[in-house]
Amino acid sequence: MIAIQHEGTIKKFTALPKVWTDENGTHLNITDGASFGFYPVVTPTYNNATQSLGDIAWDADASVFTYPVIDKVWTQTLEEMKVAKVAALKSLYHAEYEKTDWYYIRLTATGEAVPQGVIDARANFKTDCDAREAEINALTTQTEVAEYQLPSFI
Amino acid sequence: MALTKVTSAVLNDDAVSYDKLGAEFTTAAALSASDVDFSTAQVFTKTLTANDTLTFSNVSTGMVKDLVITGDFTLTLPASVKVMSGTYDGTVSNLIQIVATNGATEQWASISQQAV
Repeated sequence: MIAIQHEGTIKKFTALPKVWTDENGTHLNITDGASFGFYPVVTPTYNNATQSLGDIAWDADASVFTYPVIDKVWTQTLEEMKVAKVAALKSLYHAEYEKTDWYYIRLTATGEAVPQGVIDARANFKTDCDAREAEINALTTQTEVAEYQLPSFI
Repeated sequence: MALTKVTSAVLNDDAVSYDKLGAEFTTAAALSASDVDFSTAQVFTKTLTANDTLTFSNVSTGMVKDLVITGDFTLTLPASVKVMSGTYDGTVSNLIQIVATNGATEQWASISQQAV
């Protein structure tokens, strides 16, 4: 990604444009982008749970276009964030439970037993979910809650 | 009595042959400098040996000129030129056709290369 400051705005390109017109003319076959004002766009590393990127800006010291990293301002209280995180956690485990619910429907309808592996897996889900919920409730800062990684079952 | 218009007695309809056209319509000129004088030739050729900026002069609405340019360097045309199609390929010969749609204020360009 490269960019150029032109007519008061910063324009981004995936590569040097084949044709570029500025106050000096219509340029074809640009090979040295910097001589026309094209410089790389550098995306800084940041924690997207707790930070966001601001508007692209020119960094004269590094001769690149980049984004300022801005700490997120929380609109929820710590307790509200915990409640939301626990709800998201339970939603994930609920979805996992639903995948094996049909065994219990079959048990009711036909009497065929639920495999022990399924029973054990569901029990483990409950144990894991309870443990994670306790972890979330033990967190003491909003940043910790935001950064808490929910499990992935994919 | 001075002639104030060309009548069929002087020049028949459909009588202007290619041979009667001026050099600006029939000749090719190698550009040694960077100015493309639209009044001097129909085709202009140039091999770039460094980044180059061309200027246009004596441009009038309706003129159509052909630039045959080679060389893998950055070519800058006047800002009045709007490229409507094609891109410059420095590794081959490029035909840049310029159509003046508003004198020196606006010209349109198409860029093409030999089909391979």
